[in-house]
Amino acid sequence: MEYITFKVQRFDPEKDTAPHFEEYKVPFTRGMRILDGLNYIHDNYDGSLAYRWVCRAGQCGSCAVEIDRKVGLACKTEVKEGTKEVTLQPLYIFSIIKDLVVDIDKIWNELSSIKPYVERETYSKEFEIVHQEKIMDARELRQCIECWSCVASCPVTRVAWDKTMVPLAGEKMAMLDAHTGDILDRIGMAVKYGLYACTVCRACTEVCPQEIDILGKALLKLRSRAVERSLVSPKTRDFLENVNLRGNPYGEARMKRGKWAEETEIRRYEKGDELLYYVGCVGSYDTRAQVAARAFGNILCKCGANISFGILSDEESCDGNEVNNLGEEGLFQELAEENIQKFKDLGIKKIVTLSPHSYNAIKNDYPEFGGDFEVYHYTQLLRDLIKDEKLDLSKFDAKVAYHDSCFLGRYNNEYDAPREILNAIPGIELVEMERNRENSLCCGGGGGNFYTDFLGEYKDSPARIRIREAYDVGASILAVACPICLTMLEDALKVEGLEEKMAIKDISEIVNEICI
Amino acid sequence: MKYKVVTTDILIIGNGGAGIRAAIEANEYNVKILLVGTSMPGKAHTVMAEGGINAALGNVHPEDSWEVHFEDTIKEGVYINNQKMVEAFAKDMPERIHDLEEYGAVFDRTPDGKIAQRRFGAQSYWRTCYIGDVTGHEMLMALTEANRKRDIQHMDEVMVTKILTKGNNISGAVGIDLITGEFIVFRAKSIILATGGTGRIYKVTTNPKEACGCGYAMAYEVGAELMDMEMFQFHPTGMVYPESARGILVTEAVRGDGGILLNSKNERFMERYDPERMEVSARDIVARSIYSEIQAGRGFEHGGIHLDIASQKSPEFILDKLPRMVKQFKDFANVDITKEPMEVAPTAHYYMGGIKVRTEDNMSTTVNGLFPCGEAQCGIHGANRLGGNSLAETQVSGQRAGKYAAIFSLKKELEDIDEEEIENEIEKLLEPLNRKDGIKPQEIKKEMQENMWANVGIVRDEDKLRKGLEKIEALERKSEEICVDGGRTYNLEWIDAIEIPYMLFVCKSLVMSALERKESRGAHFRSDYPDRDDENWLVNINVREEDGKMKLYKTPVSITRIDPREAR
Repeated sequence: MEYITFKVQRFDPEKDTAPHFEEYKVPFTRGMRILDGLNYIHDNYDGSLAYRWVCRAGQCGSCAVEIDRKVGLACKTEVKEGTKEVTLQPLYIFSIIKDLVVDIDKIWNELSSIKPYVERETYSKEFEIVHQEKIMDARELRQCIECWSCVASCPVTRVAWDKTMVPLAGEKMAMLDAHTGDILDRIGMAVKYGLYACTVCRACTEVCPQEIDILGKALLKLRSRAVERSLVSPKTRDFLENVNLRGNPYGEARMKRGKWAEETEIRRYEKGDELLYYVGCVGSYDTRAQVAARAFGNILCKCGANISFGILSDEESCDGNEVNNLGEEGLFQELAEENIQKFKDLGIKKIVTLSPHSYNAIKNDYPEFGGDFEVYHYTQLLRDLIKDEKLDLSKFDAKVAYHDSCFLGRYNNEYDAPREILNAIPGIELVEMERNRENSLCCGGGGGNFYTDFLGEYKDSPARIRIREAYDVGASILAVACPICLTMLEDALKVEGLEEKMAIKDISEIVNEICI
Repeated sequence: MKYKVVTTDILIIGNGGAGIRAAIEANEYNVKILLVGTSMPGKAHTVMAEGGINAALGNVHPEDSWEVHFEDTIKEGVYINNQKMVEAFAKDMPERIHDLEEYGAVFDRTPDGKIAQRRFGAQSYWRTCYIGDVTGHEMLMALTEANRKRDIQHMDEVMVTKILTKGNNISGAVGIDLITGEFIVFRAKSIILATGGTGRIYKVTTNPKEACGCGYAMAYEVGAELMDMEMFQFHPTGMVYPESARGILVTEAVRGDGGILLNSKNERFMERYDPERMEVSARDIVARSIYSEIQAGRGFEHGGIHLDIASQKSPEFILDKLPRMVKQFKDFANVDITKEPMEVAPTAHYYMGGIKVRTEDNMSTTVNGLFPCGEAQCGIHGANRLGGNSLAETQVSGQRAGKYAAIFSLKKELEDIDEEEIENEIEKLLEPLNRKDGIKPQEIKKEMQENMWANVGIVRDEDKLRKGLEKIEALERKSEEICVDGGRTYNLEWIDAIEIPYMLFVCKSLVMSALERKESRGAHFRSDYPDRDDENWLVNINVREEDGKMKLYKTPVSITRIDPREAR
């Protein structure tokens, strides 16, 4: 008989002053769920353990808890064979009533303010005639079971409930917008309640037990409808206008785009070169991110693979990833088509990007407009170079925590390449933060927020929480693989006052420092 | 002991499909409503109903009519339904579907844009309206939205433990706020009981944690009568593997949409039990057939038989019509139902028996102001229920209970509540907490569930039933020693302890009625009396309290349209 240790956070308001953990040994059975473990504890150890459950079949959404810090339904989450220990905690975002039971009054208040019901114009005595295709469009959104998992995993809601549209509310707005009978202005309501504070990190889609693509089918859908009606916030409008006029959200001159590469060996792309190094807006214009841009370029120059490569310099234009997820689909299409034409004219076949945002757009969204290229994120290329022994690496002594970027991780399933690089460097001890991989906490910079800065004022902004998490695992370096994460976390480090204790480094910087 | 007093006109106990529908209806009148439930909005077990809701709309078979719906229901109930209630039920249903659509439910469509209807077991025409295989979820969502729109007052995670009466009139109820453990006393002019079923008395069930039959016991305690308590439906197909998924519903729609049943010899065994209707036969027939096959050793490794739709329909069809089933089997059993068969076995599902309605015209009971609806009510289904008729029942009975409770309350004054009665109830509820040593409620629950599953299941006989009754009585004695740990804040063990007497009561009335009915009819099958006996048993068995004891008595079936004796 195999046993698993269930570490359960307990708190009894009648006797405890603070939450604490209790451990229970639960026998393993094949196919068991977390809920089975909780029921076993209830039946055999402590019947007063408080947890919610009703249907036990994944259909009512009562039992959401944090399982090893990832939000999930207790009745659906399997305890896999070989598991030795599992930690259960209540949903962090709510206040605790007892043990794993939380106070969700905030949700009811939120819901009551968004009129979550069909508001009809007239009442008809006849049955409606509706077509099945119309129904199937909205079918996915209608599967919401109000389990609060999306709300509990949203980095923005965690910080700024008052400013953002919680994913659940956004989901309902989109669902009602798609309902043929509803007459309310759901788009206007959504924008008013904070639709644009979302950093498009995709955590909501990741955790939804009903497999609803909340980000894609609800929030982004609402955004594109908002853009159609020009309902975006002023800052967002600036972002989009700048990209439209100048090819970058900062509004900086196009001719300055290549300046970061001056005084390096990184040259312009020439027809016949093997590889295009696509830098992106942040890497080109942000001073901190430029360091990373130069670092990777230098590595390519130095490495023993003799890759012929170049940058587009002042001919490079925004990849459009943020434009797309802000809802400006028209502008995105323009940018995509322009870029694709440019690449094709130069005979470009293989592209490596500095930013996971560019990687995501060119790899996943450009094919729709005829863009068919071999696209890599720089960590994938670096990983291969190291594996093929094309880089000589000297020692780098540090305890390093790696922060998964949303666009590399959740969007594109690349969790390993950056870790393989760090593990291959002699002297580096790689440690994991509590929330890593698909459960990583967004730095808060996505969705244009690195520019619009909706969350800057909050003392518990996602970036600041991330700094604390890295500090808590004793990291001397928090490594990233994205120029946006780099700038967001660097700023947060300063605000937290931890510059003496820890440094933020892009992986390209680390490798550049030690490769000969 | 301190308690909070909450006053209203209509107290609705239960926030599922029936309770919410009753609230929406009562809201049309100038009355105060308070909707109370043990779980949170949107989480009642209606959410797990899957296949569909019956109504004679005639969108697929224009020949369908309320008369045929009526007939099918009576035949399935093997003629002991209350025909007046069934007539009203079949007539009302089309309008109730329209109501749901108005609240926002989006039903699947026929090619010409009308509400689609699918085939379901033992029905003459296709009349089961549906939304994929998540009909209950869509309905409950629409009802909850309608509730929110009307801003109906509600209290969640509150468990009502006792109904209060003055003379034969409702005066209120006693309940516990599960979160704080605080006692609440409700004052009300009328009570709508929408407490649902009682599947958790059985070891293997589709029902959720809260299905403990408290409504039946509370109603009986204040003088309401119960009826058809021996009629408990075992749904033919529940999951069997893994252990934690055992009992979870596998919708009848799988068979309605073309799925077939196979034993370990790869035979479509329904050929031997009902060659005419095969897999879409009446639920009790299918359940017994599957049970027999498994008993005869023709089952599979986890104790079930195979339900196969992969070999009958394309993956696109299955994904379109049964998306929840695809997901459920993928998530729980790692089975792809578009490629492989599902292993299933009968599971305790629905209680046809329940609180008897005395006057069909206004849905009242022997207690003035008590209106049962939904699964807690009895009369529509007789000895066995058609699939799709339960969701339908919630809407018709909910609407009527809401209407009549409101009309009743408009002409009524509040009755006084009895302090002593309340204090006694609170003391009784606190007993398990105050007892230092004793028996854990989980232990008693497990024994109860095993006992019912073994002795009062699909195939019954005098011996097993007697054994079952003995065990129940032993557990009743044991339950006087229940003790629990912890305080009153969200104490699940304390709730277990409170539920046990109600569950044991239901078990007892079930077994006593089963012993009483010496014939087989519908879901009640006795191997020692395997035939149907209309001459002696065209009756309903009623249960009421007399001199502190459970008394059973028979009443002839109310026949208004179809007389089985004429048919034969």
